[in-house]
Amino acid sequence: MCCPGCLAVAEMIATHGMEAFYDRRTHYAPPPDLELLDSKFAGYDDPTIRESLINEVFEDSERIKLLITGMTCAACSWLIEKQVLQLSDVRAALVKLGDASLTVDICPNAPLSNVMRAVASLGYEVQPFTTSERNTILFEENKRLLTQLSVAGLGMMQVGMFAIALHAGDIQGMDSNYVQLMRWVSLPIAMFVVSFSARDFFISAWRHLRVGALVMDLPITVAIATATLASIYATFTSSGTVYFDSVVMVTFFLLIARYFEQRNRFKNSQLLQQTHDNLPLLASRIILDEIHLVPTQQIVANDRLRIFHGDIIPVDGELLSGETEVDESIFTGESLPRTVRVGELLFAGTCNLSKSVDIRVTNTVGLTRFDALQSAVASAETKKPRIAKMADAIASYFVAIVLLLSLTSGLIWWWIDASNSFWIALSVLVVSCPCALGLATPTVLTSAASRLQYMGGLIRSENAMEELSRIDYAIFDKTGTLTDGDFECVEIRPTSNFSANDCYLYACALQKYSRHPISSAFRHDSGTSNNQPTNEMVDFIDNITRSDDTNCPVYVTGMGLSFKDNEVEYRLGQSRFIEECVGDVTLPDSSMHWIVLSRGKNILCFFGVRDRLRPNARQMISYFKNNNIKTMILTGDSSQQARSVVQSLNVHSAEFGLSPEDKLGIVMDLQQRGHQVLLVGDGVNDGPVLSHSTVGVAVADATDIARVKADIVFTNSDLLCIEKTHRLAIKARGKILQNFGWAISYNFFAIPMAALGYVQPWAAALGMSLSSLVVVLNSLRLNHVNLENRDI
Amino acid sequence: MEVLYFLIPIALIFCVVTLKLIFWAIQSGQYDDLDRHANIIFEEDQSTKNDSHRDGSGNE
Repeated sequence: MCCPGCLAVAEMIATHGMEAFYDRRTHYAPPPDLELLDSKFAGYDDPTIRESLINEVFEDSERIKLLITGMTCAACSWLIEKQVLQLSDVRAALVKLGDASLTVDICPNAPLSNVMRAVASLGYEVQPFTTSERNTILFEENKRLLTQLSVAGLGMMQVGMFAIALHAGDIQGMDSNYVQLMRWVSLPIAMFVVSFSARDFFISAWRHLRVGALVMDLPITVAIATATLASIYATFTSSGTVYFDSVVMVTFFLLIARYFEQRNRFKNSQLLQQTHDNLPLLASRIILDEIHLVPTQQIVANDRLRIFHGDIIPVDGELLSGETEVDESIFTGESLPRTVRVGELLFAGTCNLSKSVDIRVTNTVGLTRFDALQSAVASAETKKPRIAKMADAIASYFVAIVLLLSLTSGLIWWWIDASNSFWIALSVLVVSCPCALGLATPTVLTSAASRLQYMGGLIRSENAMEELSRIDYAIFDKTGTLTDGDFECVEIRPTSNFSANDCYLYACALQKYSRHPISSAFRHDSGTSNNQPTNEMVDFIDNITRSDDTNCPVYVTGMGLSFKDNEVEYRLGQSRFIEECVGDVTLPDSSMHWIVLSRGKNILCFFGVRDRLRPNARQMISYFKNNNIKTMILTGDSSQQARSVVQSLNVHSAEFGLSPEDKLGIVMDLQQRGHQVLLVGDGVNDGPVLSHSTVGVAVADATDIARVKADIVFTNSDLLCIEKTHRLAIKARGKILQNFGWAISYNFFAIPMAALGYVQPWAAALGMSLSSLVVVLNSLRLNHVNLENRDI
Repeated sequence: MEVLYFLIPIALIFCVVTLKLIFWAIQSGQYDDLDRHANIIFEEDQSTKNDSHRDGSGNE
């Protein structure tokens, strides 16, 4: 069991007879911080807030919809439902994976926080469900497309059945009254399919044509429309050939491609919806020494707010009393917190680490620095160059050429043999039907997206894969991207007769009383040493564990810990904190951040601490280097230890102490010199640069702003995924080229044949369908390519 | 072969019925969540609990 949280959940699962969860889950959820969440959920019990969340009111219950983040598979939804139904106030519960929602019917006035706590205790994030307009539209569109697809599918089967009879009749001979019967039956079905399912192609082609743009939908429209009209003509006059089967088949295949594309987009929009500001919805306002929980929207300037330790700060404000430390890594990328003193500003979105403090509000919701950064990101996004335009331009050339060719061959044949000219022109149009070309890219991208999804990645921008395959610069953020936000103790230099191991264990015992992020470097399980302390040290450590509230180690904000053990003072912390006791402290060197342990007036030990690298960070960097891609680290952190971490990664270049604007400037500069830039980041400060880079990738635990701005979002923390995605992108590009190669050579061969009158129209339709099928099957092979590193 | 004049309309009637069924299925939201229902058969069902709550007879 990794933590008490898991233990509690495991016990809960076992006691409620839900062991089946373990058989069926496919992912692990991150452990929740329950203590922190409890206070947040309590806010939703507030009558006015609860009122606003109710969707429907029944006789004995009220329906409330909640958004659940972190659900990955059906086992999750099953577990959540069972867990919520255990609550006595809950009448019914239904989880929908599709929109990541939980709908509960709950007794009137029963606390909603119980439900939320129940869900959170399983390790999922939960918040009220707010439907965005865009999402509802997408949902409806999805349904409509599915209806169109099923009509086309059914129509294809029916018409195809008759078409087989007709084709067989062409070969074996068939009575003309039966031929006409087949045609007359196919006609209404095909008409229905065309008018119902292919409508979108017509609309889109017309919409683009009106503004002078030629899109793939245009030849599709022309082909479908002329083939239908010609078939109707042939049916009425009992002459020529009918193409009803190719019409519905074209429609069906194109709709399938479109449906998968749409589903993918829908999933992405779900992800967008799941991202939310981590800003709290409620704040503790102090009026006449009493604390009131109020929605953050109601807070006005000069309000006095209490910020508890561990809370995210809801609005910008000035510190009124005491001092505290805030984690501002989302703005600055600095992994060490900043000490804030009276009169200094605290920013919304940052985390109050050490003490509960009061602030006076300076900027309210919508006006904070956090909001300003977000709007800066929004404006950066519109500047992004889109490769899609180029693809459209190529497509429109192809469209123009096909239309022209079809017209020319029709005209030439009109000259030679007028009775054949219409059918030949149509053959050219059908045989060259740009399906294969049209499908070449989207099928590969869809296939790549589904492959990526297995790896825990989601594509947010349709061009991301194509662009990723062409990058020649890979830029990484440090804090949170290459490092995981925790620290590690990489060097221990004892200066007394205590061993390194003893000193480390003593520091571990002391650090339990600190909330400073650096304390994460001192954990028994963090690897540096697992040995037992010597007997002498056991006693000292026991003194710490036996200490009670009156004499336990004290944390001094921004400095370190001090502990009085039988009148001897132990100190652990920054060098200037130790200097107060010891006098001058000379640090071993300046390559990393040194934490000093002292006893009375003697220094016992130096601990070299630095950011802990994510596993595989080195391997990923060397992968990119081996592939002749320049690697670069851009970080807001300017400390020595950042340099030492970066040096250990051996990248081509690195820049320190950068603001979000600086990062953006560097990336834009590279792009202006013609480089294609991959940017991997996670924080709010990476938002602008993520949306401006050629490909932006947000890694696990990324802040929402980074997730929204990135082209590819990863939900797992394995950096190797980025390497694999790059390989996948290159493979996908290869597949796209293969598809194009096939489609072009097919057209190159088939169009002249058709123009010369060698291709019967039914054969043209068959050839067209087969060529599309080849493209689709080729793209599907992408799901099975090997992405592992073969160099090792 | 005259039987075709009779069989084809029957086939078309089936086709229309199937379409109606599909429309109904889509509109009633059966395809909204494709991932969940694939797994639903594994749940050795305890929906009785759900029902007992529905008619208000309290918990287990």
